[in-house]
Amino acid sequence: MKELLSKLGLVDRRRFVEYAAKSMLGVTVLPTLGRYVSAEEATGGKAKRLIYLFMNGAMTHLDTFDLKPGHANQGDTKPTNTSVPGAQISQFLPMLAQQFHNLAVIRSMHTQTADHEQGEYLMRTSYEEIATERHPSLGPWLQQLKGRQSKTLPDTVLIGAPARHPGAGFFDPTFSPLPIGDPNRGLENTKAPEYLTDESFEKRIDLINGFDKKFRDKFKVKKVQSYTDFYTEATGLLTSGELKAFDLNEEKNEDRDRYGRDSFGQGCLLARRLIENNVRCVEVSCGGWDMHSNIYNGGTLPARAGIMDKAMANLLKDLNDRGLLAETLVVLTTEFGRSPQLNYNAGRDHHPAVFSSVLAGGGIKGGQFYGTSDAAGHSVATDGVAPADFNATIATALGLPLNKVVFSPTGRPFKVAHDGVPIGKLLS
Amino acid sequence: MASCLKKFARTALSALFVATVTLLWSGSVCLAQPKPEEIPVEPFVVQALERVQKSEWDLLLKDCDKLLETEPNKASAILYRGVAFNGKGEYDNAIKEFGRVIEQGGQGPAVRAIRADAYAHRSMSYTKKGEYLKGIDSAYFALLENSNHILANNNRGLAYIGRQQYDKAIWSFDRVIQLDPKSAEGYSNRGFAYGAKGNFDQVIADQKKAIELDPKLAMAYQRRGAAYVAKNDAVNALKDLDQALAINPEFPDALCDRAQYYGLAGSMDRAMADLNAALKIDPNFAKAHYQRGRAYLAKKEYDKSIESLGKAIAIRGNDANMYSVRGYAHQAKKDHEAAVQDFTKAVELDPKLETAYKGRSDSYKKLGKSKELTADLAKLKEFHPAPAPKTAKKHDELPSRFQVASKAVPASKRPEAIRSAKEIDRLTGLNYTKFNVQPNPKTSDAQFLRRIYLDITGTIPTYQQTQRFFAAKESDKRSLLIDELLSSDGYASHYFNYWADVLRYTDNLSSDVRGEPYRQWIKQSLAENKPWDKLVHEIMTAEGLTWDQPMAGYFQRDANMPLDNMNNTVRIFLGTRIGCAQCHDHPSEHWTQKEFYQMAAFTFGMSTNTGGHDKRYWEKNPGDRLYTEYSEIEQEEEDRRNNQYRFDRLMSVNMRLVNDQVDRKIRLPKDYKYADSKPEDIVEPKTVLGPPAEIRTGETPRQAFARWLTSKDNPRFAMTIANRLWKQALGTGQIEPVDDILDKSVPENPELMTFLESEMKRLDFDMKEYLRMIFNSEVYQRQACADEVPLGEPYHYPGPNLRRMTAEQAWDSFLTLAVVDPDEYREMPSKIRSEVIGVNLNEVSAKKMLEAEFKSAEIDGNQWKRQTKYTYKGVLLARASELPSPVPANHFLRMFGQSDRELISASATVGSVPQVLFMFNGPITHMLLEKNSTIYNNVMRKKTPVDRAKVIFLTILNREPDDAEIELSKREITKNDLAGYGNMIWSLVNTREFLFVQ
Repeated sequence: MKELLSKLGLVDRRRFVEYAAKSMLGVTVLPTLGRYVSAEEATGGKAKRLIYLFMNGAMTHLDTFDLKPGHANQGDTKPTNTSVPGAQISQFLPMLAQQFHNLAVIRSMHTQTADHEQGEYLMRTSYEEIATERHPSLGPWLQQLKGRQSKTLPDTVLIGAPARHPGAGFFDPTFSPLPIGDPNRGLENTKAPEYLTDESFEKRIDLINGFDKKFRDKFKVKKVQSYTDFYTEATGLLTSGELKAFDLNEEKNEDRDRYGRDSFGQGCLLARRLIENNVRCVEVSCGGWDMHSNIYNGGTLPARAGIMDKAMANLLKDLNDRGLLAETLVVLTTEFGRSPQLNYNAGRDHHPAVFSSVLAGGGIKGGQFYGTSDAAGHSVATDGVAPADFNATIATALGLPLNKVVFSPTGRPFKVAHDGVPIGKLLS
Repeated sequence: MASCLKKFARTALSALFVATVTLLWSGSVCLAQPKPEEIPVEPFVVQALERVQKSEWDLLLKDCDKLLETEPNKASAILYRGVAFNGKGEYDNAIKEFGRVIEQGGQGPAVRAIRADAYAHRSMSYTKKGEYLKGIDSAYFALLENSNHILANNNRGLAYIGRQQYDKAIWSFDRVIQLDPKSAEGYSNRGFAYGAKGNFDQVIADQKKAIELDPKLAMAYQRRGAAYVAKNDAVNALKDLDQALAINPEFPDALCDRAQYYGLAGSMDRAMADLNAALKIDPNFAKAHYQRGRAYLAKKEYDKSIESLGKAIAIRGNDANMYSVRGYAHQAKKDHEAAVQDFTKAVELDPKLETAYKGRSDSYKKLGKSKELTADLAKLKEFHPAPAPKTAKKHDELPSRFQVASKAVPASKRPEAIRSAKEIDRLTGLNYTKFNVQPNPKTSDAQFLRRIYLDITGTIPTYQQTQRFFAAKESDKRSLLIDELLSSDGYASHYFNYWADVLRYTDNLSSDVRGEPYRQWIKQSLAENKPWDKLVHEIMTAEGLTWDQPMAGYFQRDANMPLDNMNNTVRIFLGTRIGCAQCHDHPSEHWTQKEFYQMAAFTFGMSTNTGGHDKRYWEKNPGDRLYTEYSEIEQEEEDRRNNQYRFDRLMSVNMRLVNDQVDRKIRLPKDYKYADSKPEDIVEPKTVLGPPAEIRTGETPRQAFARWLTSKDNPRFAMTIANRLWKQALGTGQIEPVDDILDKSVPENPELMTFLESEMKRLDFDMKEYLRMIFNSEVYQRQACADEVPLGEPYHYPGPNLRRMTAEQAWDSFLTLAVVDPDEYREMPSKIRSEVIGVNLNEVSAKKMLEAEFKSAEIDGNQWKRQTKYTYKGVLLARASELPSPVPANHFLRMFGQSDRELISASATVGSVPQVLFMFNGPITHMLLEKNSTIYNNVMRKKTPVDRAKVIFLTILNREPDDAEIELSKREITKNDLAGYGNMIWSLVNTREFLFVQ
C-alpha cells in the first residue's frame, strides 16, 4: 500500500489520507452530538447572508450589554431601557436599545485565551491557532459548503480587517475574501491611468490579447488559462456596473452621516450595499476596544460605543426597511471581555471568563438575553457559550451542515464550527 | 509711548503670564458641578456653598465643626473645612483636610463623588503652593473617580499653566467648556493659557466670551487688559483694567497690572499706590512684592528693591525671575558676590533664563573670574546659535541603509561546476530514454536571459542589461552571466524572499522582539554565501539577545511554543513532517507520539526568555531596582501610568534572550494513551533518524541536536536542501512536496537525487556553487514545458516548469520597469535601533531606560519619515526584500500571493480579481506611464515608432518583437500617437507572457 502511495502524486495521496482519517478517526460514525444537532437543524437555515461585525481589542461587556447596576464593578455606565420591557442595556447604546426586539444578546460567552490574536482567531474559526494549520473563517466556509454565490462579485468581503485575518485558511486561495482597507475608497484600482486613451476598455483588452497570442498558443496549460479567466472576470466586473456596489458615493450624504463618518460606520453602510448587491458575507472590523485606562475620562468608551451603536442600529434598520433583515444574519462579537473590576488606571483589562455577543436578523429569535454572568460580571453563571457553540449557532442559522467533514491539504479533518453545539433557544 | 508700551508688553509677559499663577482667582471653587442625580444634596452642603459664594471662610469652618461634633467622620464637613482653609490661604491645612476625606475609601457612588471633590480641591491647594506636579496628579485622581468633574479639569488646567505646559492646559479648559458651555471661568482660563503661548487674539476672544457669559467677571477684564497691552493697545488696556477694578476694587492682580502700566507710563507714584493697595489686600502677594522690587530698582533705591524682592522670594522661593532681578539690584550696589549668588540660583531654577547668565557674566567680569566668565559667555552664545553649515545638514539627510556585502563565486571553480552540470544532464538523459520523454529545445538567449535574472536576482533584466547580453559575443556568455548574477546583491534579495516565506519571518517576532537584526543576518549570510550547514548550526545553537545573536530570531519566532518549534525545525531542515505525532502516533509514517516527544526533548530546555532571578545574567533582579527608580522619576502620575507599559516592555525585551535551562524536562501529555509509557513521564532526548545524537559532557542537548541535524551523516539534511534548491531552479522537486519527505518517498530519478545530495556534501553545503552547477546544465537551459503534466504523474524534466512569477518577482520586475534606481532605498540598519534599546539591565538607570524608549519611538518616527521620501501614491518603492514583513493584506505583494508569514511556505501563485485590477490600474501601473519612469525614458531616447516599439518589447518582455507584433504596434501608434505607446506598455505588462517565467 505504502509503495503504491509514494508513486502517486500529491492529490492521490491526499485522497488516501482522507480515507485513512475517515476510517481511523471515526468521522463516518455519527458524532456524539448528532441527535441534538439534527433537532436544531430543523429550525436553521433561514439566513442566506451574513454580516459579521468584529469589535477588535475586546469589547467591555459591563459597559455595553451586560450591566451590573448597583455593583461596585459597574463604573460610570448607567443602564437604559430598551424596546423590550424589562430589558436594559448600556446608556451608550441608545439606538441599539430601540432595536432590542431584533437582538439576541448572549451574556455568557467564554473563551480560553486572553491574547488578542489567539482570541480573534478562535472566534473567527472555532479552532485554536496552531503553527501548522490555517483554519478558514466563516465566509469561505459558506462558499465551500454552498458554492459561489455571484458570478462577478466575490463571496466574502472584509472591510478594515487586520492583516492576520485567517481568511480562506486551508481552502483554495480563490476562496480568499476580498479585502477593502478603507470603505470610503471602496474597491481600489478601478480607475485607468490618465495617460491611456479614452477608447473603449475592450479595445485595450484586444491589444493585450494580440500581443499575448503567441505565448498563449504555445502554453495551453491550465495555470495560464486560469489567469485568462481572472482577466475575463475582472473585465466583467469593471464593465458590469456592479462596481457601484463598492462605491459609497452612490449613497446620499444624509445616509452616510446617519451611519457615522468613521470607518466602522461607513464600513457598515458598505456592508449593506454589498449585501443588497448579492455579496454573501461581509465582515466589518471596529478597532479601539482595548481600553486599559481612563475608559470614561476623555470619552474613550462613550465614543467607541457610540460609533458601534450608530452604525449597527442603522444597519439593522435599513436591512429591515428593505425586507432584507429576515434573510440576513447580523453578528456582533469580539475576542473576549474586559475585567469587571476597574484597574488602577480606571480601565479594564483582558478577561476571557465571560463576555457578551449579539445575534440579530435572519434565523434569530430577537428581543432576548441568553445566558447570564455572575453578579460581579466575572464568570459565566448559566448557559455558557464557547466560540465554537456561537459559530455553530451562526452556521445553523445559515443552514450549513455542522457534521460535514472537510479535509485540509495536510489530510486533517475539519468542520465548520468544530464540535460546537448550536443554541436552539436563539434560533427562530 | 510706543516703545514704552512694547517694553511693558514684555514685562507683562514675563510677570503676568510666566512668573506667577498666584493670581488665579480662588473663586473657581464655585464652578458649577452637576451632581449625579441619585445623590441628594445635603442641606449642609447648600449652606456651605452659600458661605463659599460670600467668602465667609471662618463661618464656614464653624459650620463644619458644629456638624463634626455630632458626626466626627462626616466627609462633607471635612471637605468644606478644606475648602475654607483654601479660601483663607492656609493650604497645608487644606491639604490635610482633603487627605482625610480621601483616606476614608469606599466605592459607593456618593463616596466616590465626594472623594473626587476632595482630590479636585486639593489640586488647587498644591497649585497655590507652587507644587504644580502634585496639583496635576491630584486633579487626575479626581478625574479617575469622575471623568466629567469640571472643577478637576479646570484645576488641572491651572496646574498645567503653573508647570508651563500650556497645550495641556488648553486641552483641560477645552474639556471644561465642553462639559459646561456656559463656564465663563473655563473660557477665561483658556484664554489665559493661550496668552502664555503668545496668542493674544485668542486671549481677547476667550475673555470676550467669558464676559458675555458673566459680565461681572473682573478676572476676564484684567486678562483682556493685559492682552491689549501686549498688542500695543493702550486705550483698551487701561479701560479693561479700570473696569476690572470697578467690579472688584480689591483685586490685587488688576492693581498690579495697572501699577505696571502707570510705572511705565511715568506715573511712579500712582504705580506705587496701586502696589501698596494690592499688598494691603494681600500682604503675601508675591507678585506685588516682586513688582515693587522692580519699581525700586528702576528708581535706583536698591536696598528697598532688595528688601521687596526678598519678601517675594520668601513667599515663593522657586521663581528664577525674582532671583535674577535681585541679582541686578545687588550688582547695581556693586555687591558682585551676592549678585553671582542670586544669578546662580536663578539659572538653577530656570536653565534657559538668558538675562541671568548675562547678569552673572558681568559680575564675573567685575570679580575677575575669567574661567567662569568664559563659561557663561559660551552659554550665552548657545542662546543664539550660528546657523549650521549646509554640508553638515546634507550629511544628516543621507538615509542610513543596510547593505549586504556579497561574495563573488570564484572563476576558478567554473570548470568544476560545468563538469557536474554534465553529470546532471547525463542522469536526466537516462530518464528521457527510460520514460520515452522528448526533451525541449534549448532556450533562446532572450528566454534564458529573462529566466536567469528572475531565478537568481528575482527581477527581470533592464533594457540595458538585455542589450548588453544580446550584444555579447563570448561563446560561454551564459556561464559568465550566471557567475555575475550569483555574485551580485540580487541573489541575497531573491533568496531572502524565499527563506522569509519558509521561515515565516516577521518584523515583530514575538512579544515586541523585533526581527530586523535576524532579517539582516539572513540576508548577509546568503550574500556572503555562508555554507548551509554552518548557517543552520548557528541558528540551532544561538544563545542571547537578538541584537547580539541575530540568528536567535529563529527561536523567538516560535517563542513559548517548543513543540511547534521542533515540528517546524524538522519540516524546514529535514523536509519531514512529524506534526501529526504531536497528538497521536503518525497514521502512515513510523513516527510515534513518544518519538515526537523524544525529539522535542532536545530543544525543550531552550527558553526564549529569562527571569530577573536568573543569576547567570543578572546580578540582582533588575526589575526590583528599576521599578523603585521608575516610581521616583519626576513625571505626572498619568504619564507614569501610561509610560509604565512602555517601560515594562523595554525591560522585558532586554530579558528576551535565548538560553538553555537544563532543569527543564519535557513530559508526556496528560492524555497519553499508549502502552509504552505513562502519561506525564519525563522523556529523554533521542533522535529517530540516522545515527543517534550523542550528548557530550559539558554540552546542552540543543548543541548535540544541532551537530546531529547539520551533519553529513544525517540522512535528510543534505537531501532536503539539495531538493529544495533543485525545485527553485526547475520548478518541481525530485521529491514533492519538498517538506514532506516520507520513508518510502521515491525521487523522480533516484540516481540524480543521490548525485545532487552527494554534490551538496562535496561542496560542503556551498549553495551558490550548487546552484551554479544546476544553472549551467542543459536541462535548466531548455525551454519551459508547454504541456500539461497530468496531476499525479511524475515530471521527467524535459525542461523547467512554466511558472507564474512569485509575488516578489512580479513586484520587483514592476519596479525595474518603473523606478530609475529601485535599489536606492534599503531598510534601516537594525543596529541603529538596537544600540538604543539594548541596555545593560545590571546598571542602567530607570531614567535612562525611559529615555531609550522615547528615543526608539523617535527612531521609528524618523524611519517612517524616511520611507515617505520613497513613497509613490502611498506605496514604498523598494525591493520586496526591503519591505516590512508581513505587508498589509491589500498590498500588491499580498494580492499576488506573498505569505502572511503565519505558516511555512504559505505563498501562492494563483490569480485573483484584485490582482488583475492591480495590473490594470494599480499605482505602479500608473507610475509606468508617467514621465521619467524607466520605461518612459527608454522609449523617449528612441526616435522612430519601430525603434520605440522595439524598446518597449525589450524592456518589458526582454525580447525583440516579431513582424506581426511590429505591425500591431505600428497600427496602435499611428492611431493614437504618443498615447499609443502608453496603450502598448499597459497591454504588454498585462500579458500572461509578462507574468510567467518561461
